[in-house]
Amino acid sequence: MRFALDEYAHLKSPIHRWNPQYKLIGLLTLMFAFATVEDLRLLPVISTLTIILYLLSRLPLSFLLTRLRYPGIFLFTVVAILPFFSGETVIWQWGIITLRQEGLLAVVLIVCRFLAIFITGLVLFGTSSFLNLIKAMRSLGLSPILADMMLLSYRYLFELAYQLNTMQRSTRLRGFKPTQFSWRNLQVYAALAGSLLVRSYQQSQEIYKAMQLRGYGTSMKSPQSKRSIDVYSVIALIITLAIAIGLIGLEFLL
Amino acid sequence: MSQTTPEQINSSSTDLVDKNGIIVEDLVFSYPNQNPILEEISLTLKPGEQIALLGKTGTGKSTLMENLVGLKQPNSGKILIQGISLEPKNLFEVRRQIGFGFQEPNDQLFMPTILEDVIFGPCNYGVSPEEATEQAQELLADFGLADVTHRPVHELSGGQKRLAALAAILALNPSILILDEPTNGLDPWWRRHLAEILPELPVQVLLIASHDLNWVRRVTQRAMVLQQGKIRVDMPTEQLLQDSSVLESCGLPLDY
Amino acid sequence: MHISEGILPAKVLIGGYAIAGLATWYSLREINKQKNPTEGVPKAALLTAAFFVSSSIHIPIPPASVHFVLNGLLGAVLGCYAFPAILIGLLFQAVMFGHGGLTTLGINAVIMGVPAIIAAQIFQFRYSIGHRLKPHVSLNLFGFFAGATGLGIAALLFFGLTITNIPSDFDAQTEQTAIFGLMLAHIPLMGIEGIFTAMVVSFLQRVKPELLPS
Repeated sequence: MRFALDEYAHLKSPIHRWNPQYKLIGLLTLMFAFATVEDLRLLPVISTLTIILYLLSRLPLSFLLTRLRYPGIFLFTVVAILPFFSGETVIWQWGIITLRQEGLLAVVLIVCRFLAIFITGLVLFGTSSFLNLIKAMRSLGLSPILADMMLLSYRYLFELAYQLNTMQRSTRLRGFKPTQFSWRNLQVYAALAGSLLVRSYQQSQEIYKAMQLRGYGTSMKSPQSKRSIDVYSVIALIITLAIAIGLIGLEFLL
Repeated sequence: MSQTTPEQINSSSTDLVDKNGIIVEDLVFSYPNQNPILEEISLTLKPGEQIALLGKTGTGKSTLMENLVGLKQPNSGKILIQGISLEPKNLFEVRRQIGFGFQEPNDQLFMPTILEDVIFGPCNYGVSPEEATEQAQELLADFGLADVTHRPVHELSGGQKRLAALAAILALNPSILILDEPTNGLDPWWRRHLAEILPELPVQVLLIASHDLNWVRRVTQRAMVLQQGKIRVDMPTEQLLQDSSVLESCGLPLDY
Repeated sequence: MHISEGILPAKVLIGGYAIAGLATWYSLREINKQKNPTEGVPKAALLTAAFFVSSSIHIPIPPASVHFVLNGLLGAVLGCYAFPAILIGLLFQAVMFGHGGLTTLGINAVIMGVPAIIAAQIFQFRYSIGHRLKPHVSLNLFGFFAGATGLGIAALLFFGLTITNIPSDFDAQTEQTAIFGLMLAHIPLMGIEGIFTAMVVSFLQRVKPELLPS
């Protein structure tokens, strides 16, 4: 499993400089604006915007390409079906295979929208460490219960993945054949999952003790961090919001 | 490691430091409807002492230590930490005085990076994030961990995690340090390194539970042995480890 | 069972966020009503991570392989922390695996979370409706139903939302047939998920019964 988008969070670029709080608001709004697009004439607009954004972020292309693999599968199913079954205007025919215009256009819309939103999301999460983004969400009002859950889950995800891996390896060393589908195999998998749950539960009890010992749960109010206005980030936010609103407005008018 | 004197985080904590160490009187602990694990334990750990807590697995060392930090409540008896009686209502204040190192540092380093872990405690006790971060960076640098402050915890080695956990509990400037099996999983280099660091720490009382008898003789002057719920033996570490009859009667290995 | 970006119209996405927001608000309210709300946080967080990791276990079902959704089990074990856990799990998938799904976070949380809550309730019925059966029979039976229902409702919501909202010229009849057909194909998967859930629940009852709600 490839985890974490933090590998390029340390680079320097206009997007990396953008304060995570403002970046979160700006780029999420932009993503939603992309999602509202239905008119095909706006597709070149959102595509250009996305390319500019990605170039500004200085994230390598390989980063994008490796990430596209999994979501590509779901899209592929949609892409494979719609142009051949959806719509009445036939633009090409070969035997029983008919290519229909409406379906094709629908696919173009979906794929463009997907890429625009997906790439913007990558830029958002690839240019700040996950930890900083959680802190930004916290200061934007995210419930401390959710923020704490996120931090702890994130922290122990890797350990648990490692533990599962070790358990799976030990089953194979004892002759388990994972490629068979049988009742017994299912039980082994159930035991693996169950063990993981039990271990993580036990570990969570120890963790809670450790947290309590350092004041968790009864905390005193921490003095507010000095909030200095980061002009650059504010301007970037205003520009992004303007573009987003502009897009939605255009879509509405067209 | 040089003698660091980190500033007191909060001046009111100086009131609690009245040189009493840990005093336990007639402590009894058992789980509901079970036989007592700790039977009328009484002990005094004075400022300036480094004490080893020994005993076979299952004799109740961890239970005793958890009682000392208020993670478990005794059935009866008293615990005084720096002169303050440990009670459920004052746990938050008193815990600041005791740093407790878990057997498993992974359970103690629960934030995504070690810097976040080290500032966790101080932030809970009212220190501003900026100040806590500055102090944390100094502390981690003292421990030689300046390069890894922003790395995810799971990428650190066992020895680095041990030190990071130690830094995290020292961030609150406790006057008492309790460590549960601190050399577990450490190679000889790290065990030696830890033995060199511990005596230099600015704490008044150091209590270490350990099976590592060789290591313990380097770090402690006094040793107590817990057996069947009671403190059977309380004598200088060196003397205990050289007395094979005592070791045998306590169930400790002769060939350590 | 996750809808990708770009497929659903904005109004559905916003609706998804609205419902997810409501469910989260309600869950947080229940959590904060407890005597010690922060006590459940490490447990919920670690179990979220464990569920997340467990759902990556691939079971070979020739000709392909499948991985479990486990939302029914999650609902049963986590109670009022279930919906936040699913939200966080989906966020991780979106961010860390780079699966995308940020605009669809709300609707995906509804697809997975609402069945989880229902499954949790079904699992609790083992005490009321199932009280006449032997305890371990009741446990297995309701565990099975919880798991199967968890997947079933999620699949229904998933196919329903996807098919009816894809920009296409299919008529309502075709769409309904498609949904029906896909659901039919999923019945065996629901069965396997149910069996798996029952097995895990039995394991937990034997090894660490306090993990299961009383």
